[in-house]
This record gives sequence, structure tokens and C-alpha cells, in this order.
Amino acid sequence: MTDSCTHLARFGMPTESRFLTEFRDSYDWLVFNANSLAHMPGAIARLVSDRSVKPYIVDPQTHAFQHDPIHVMNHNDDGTWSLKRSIARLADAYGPLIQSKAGKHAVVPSDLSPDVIENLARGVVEFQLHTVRNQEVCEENRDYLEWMKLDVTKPRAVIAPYFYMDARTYGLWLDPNMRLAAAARAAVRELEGTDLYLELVIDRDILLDEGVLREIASVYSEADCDGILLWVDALSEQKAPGGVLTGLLTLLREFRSNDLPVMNLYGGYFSILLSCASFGSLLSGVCHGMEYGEDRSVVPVGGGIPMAKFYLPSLHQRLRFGDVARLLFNRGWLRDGETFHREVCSCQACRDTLRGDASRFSLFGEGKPVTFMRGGSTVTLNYPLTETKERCLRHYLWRKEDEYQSAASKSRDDLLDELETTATEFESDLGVEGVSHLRTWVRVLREVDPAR
Amino acid sequence: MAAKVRDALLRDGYSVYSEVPLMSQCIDIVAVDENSDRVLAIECKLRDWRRALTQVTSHRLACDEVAICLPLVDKRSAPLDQCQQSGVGLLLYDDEADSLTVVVEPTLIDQQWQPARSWLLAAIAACQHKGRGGSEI
Repeated sequence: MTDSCTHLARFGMPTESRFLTEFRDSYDWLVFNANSLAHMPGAIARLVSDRSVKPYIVDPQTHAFQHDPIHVMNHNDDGTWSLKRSIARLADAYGPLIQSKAGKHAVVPSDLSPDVIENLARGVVEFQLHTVRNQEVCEENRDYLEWMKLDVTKPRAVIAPYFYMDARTYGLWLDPNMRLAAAARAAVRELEGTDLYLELVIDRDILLDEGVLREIASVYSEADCDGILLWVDALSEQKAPGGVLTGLLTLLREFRSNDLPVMNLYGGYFSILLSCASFGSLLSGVCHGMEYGEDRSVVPVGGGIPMAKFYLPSLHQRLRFGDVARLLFNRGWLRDGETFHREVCSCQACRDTLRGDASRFSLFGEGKPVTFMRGGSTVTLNYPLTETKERCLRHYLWRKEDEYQSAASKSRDDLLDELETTATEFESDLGVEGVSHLRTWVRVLREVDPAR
Repeated sequence: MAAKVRDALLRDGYSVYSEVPLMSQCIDIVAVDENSDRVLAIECKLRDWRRALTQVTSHRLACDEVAICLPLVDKRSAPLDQCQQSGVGLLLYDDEADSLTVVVEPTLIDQQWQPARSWLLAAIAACQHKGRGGSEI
């Protein structure tokens, strides 16, 4: 944990619970998506009430109801379509508008009359305040929690209902989003005093339009709230061009000038750097998922087959195991355990896996062949073993802990020099494209004047 | 094209295996020279030779030689220099004549990463077991 940057970790699926427990000392807040909470409220109540006693927030995911309803439907074996169960539970909780629309029609701005806004905001706030509270807390900690007078069932903050905006539609959604924010604030005050955060969910292209950015920032800054949670659709910090990252800086500076704290719900090392005082403390928190969650599309895209990926600390990027193995082998870093730990990683997961023998690095890539059809032909790929995924995840979580801590403790020049040096060191192996994200980050970060 | 290349290699006396999984990828064709035990990985592409060159790069960890195979359309447009510079063999398959020509000999890779080599040999053994390769036509 650091003073400068709140480290948020997102719960993705039940199998991740034990990692969130195992690494509880490394992060500050837990984040749940509302559909996960609707699907397994008991399991989540037990997780938030275990010994870690972590504050939590719930992303209400109201944007799910503004898209083509196909995105919240399941295609059944008999050819029929049905609303996903977790979404149906959310719809029940969110009130008449969502109940009537879910799985049938998209919510549009004209649906949001004053009565509807009030109902929707109240339903969304009540869901966040009461869902965990209505469950049994972790039995073995019940006495401890009562003795400490800790109400772990109450979220750290409530998030107002929100709808996603792109460059063409922001003019339609800005006003409903603000009215939902005001209604959520009223509901929070009436039900239970707690912080209210607004979730700003925008398309990446908006970051390229400075005028729109300033307008959105100005409107959100006037809202009665305690902070902003930012989600830029599918913004990969490793793939984003400099103009997009500069746009992100512009947006964050606007909020900063209005003293509004912003947390990035999907961010990586670049975001962590933006939280440092030496880069203006433009972010007050950064959230990541369990290895795969540093960026996310608003509308879910297909799952696909997960590949074994290894987070290469110096590049701050997950790479396919084969590519990492080739890189490390060519550089002579798989010669022995000592060399590996000195040049690549010495985290606990790597030490436990290698046990001094660099050939055991292969355990980060072990898989079993799986054959499936793609584009009309048979394809065989190595599907990572459960143990492989767990090793990669543990390594990732150790490295993330280190990133949050070390970024806060290093000087601006040291942080930038590290990125530059790594880019220079690896470009002959990976090409300029393989290290371009590091140079883009440096270029963009040099624009940041920490005094402003 | 991969099936025809596979048949051509079989006729040349190689033991040939298709769709061999290796780490996070899958090798189109693995040809084993039974005399020397050398293992050659081949990526076949109809058009995108750059992608094929990228794909074979990771196979170097496990193989003695790597190559890409393209259809013989216009020999002058084949990436001779790129293959020579990177030590990757270049095979051109002539569909009309049903023949395979080695245009650039692959460079012998002198050092493999043993875990990757072991995985490849195990995958070849699994292919034999499943009947997805071998020396029989």
C-alpha cells in the first residue's frame, strides 16, 4: 500500500477469491462488478468480511442496459435467447425502467424522465448499500468484526448510475448522467451517509478532442460528488498512441485543477506513474484485475482461449510465453537461476517456481494441447494448465505490488530514465515497435509539470 | 497448401507432423530427418510472409532449423534477403508441378532451450499417437 496511490484490485471470477485473500496486504480497495455481486452475493460477502477487511466498491454496470440487448443475453442450446441470470437480478434491483427494458430494448436518453431518474438512482444505490449487508458475513470473523465495531458490509463509496458516452453521443448522455448523479446523491443522503463517486465511461476517441474533454470535465467537476472513477473503453496503455495518452492527461489535469480525485478503473504502470507526486498526482488510485484486467471494452468481446502470458517487469507488459522465453534465452538470462533473478525477476513466485534452476521457468508456460475449429479449419493450441495460470497470476500480483510501491519512492528522473533505458536495451530484440509504448510514455510524461 | 507441402516432404523421406503445439503457438509442419534426427519447423502462408517469419522465430528455441513456405507465384517477390539475414529457410511450393523448392537453406541452430525441445519432442510423440503425422503416406 502507498500513501500516494490507492491500489484497487478487481474481483473477476470466484476462483480469484483466494488470490485476493493471499495478496490482501498488497492492495487497498476491492472492486466488484454489480453483475458478479448479483450472481454470488454470499461468496462476495464472505470475501469482504474475511480477515483482510478491505473497503470495497461496486461498479453498478448500468451501461449494460444502453447497448443492443443481445449483449446481455445468453444463446441457449435449444436456439432460444434468454436474459443472463445475473443481469436479470440486477434489473429487478434497479427498478421499473430497467426491468421493462432488460433483454428487450436499449435504454435511451428519452427514457430518463425525472421520475424514472429518481427510481433508477435509488434502486442502484440501494443495491450497492444492501446486497452485501443482506448476506451472512464470514463466520469465523463474526466475533472479531463485532468486537472491532467494523461494518465491513457497507461499501467504501457508492457509485451513481451512469451511461457510456462517445464523441457522437456525449451530448445526449451528459445531462441524464448529471441528473442521475444528483438523484444518487439525494438517495445516499436519505439512506445512509457515504461517499458518492461518479463513474465516467467514455470512448477512447473522446480523448482526442480537447474541446469535448474540457466540456465533460467542466460538467462533471460541478457535480456534487467525492470523486471520479474513470473507464476509457478498451484503452490499452501499451497500444495507445501518444495523442490518446496526452488527451488522458488533459482530462486528468482538468479534474485536478478542480480538486476532484480521479481513480482509473482499468490502468497499468502508466496510470501508476500518473498517480505519483512527481507527475502531478493526476490519479488518486489505479485498479487492475487479476492479470488480464488493465484494459477492458465497454461492450464485452468474445472470451477466446486464454494464452499463458508472463508479465515482463521491465517492459511492464504481459507477453506470450513463447516470446518471453525466446527473448530471455537469446539474452542468456535463462542460463541459471541467479542470472534470471538478477536480470528478469526475483519476486516470490519466480523464486518458488525456479528454485535456483532457470530451466524451471518453463513452468510459467506449461500447457496441454486443445484442438478447436477456427475459420473452418482445425487449430491446435497449448491451453495453459491451471497451475501455469496460477504461477503467472502470482508473479503478476507480486510485480504489481512492487510497481505501486517503487513508483511512489523513486524520483521523476529515475522513473523516466528506467523507461528510456529499457526501451534502448530491448529494441534490438523486439524492434522499435516492441518497445514503443515505453518511449510514448516517456514523451507524454515529460509534458507533465508536477507544479501545475 | 500445408497438406500438399506435407505430402511433398513425406515423398522426400521426412517424417512429417502437422499442427504441432509448442508453447503458446502451433507449428504448421514439423519435418524430422530420420538420418540426422534434425527437426525442421515450417510455417506455411499463402500471402503474409512477414507473419510467417515472426511465427517461426519462437520455434528456434526448440528446433534445429526453421523455415517458411510460400506458394511459388513470383520468385522475385519472395523475401530472399529477409530469410537469409535471419537464418530462416525459404521453401516455395509450385502448385502446378506439385513440387517443393528450397530457395534459401535454413541455418543450423546450434543451441536450443532444453525445456522447449522436450515439449516439442513430447508433442511429436503425441501426434504419432493420434495419427497426425509420421512417415507413412
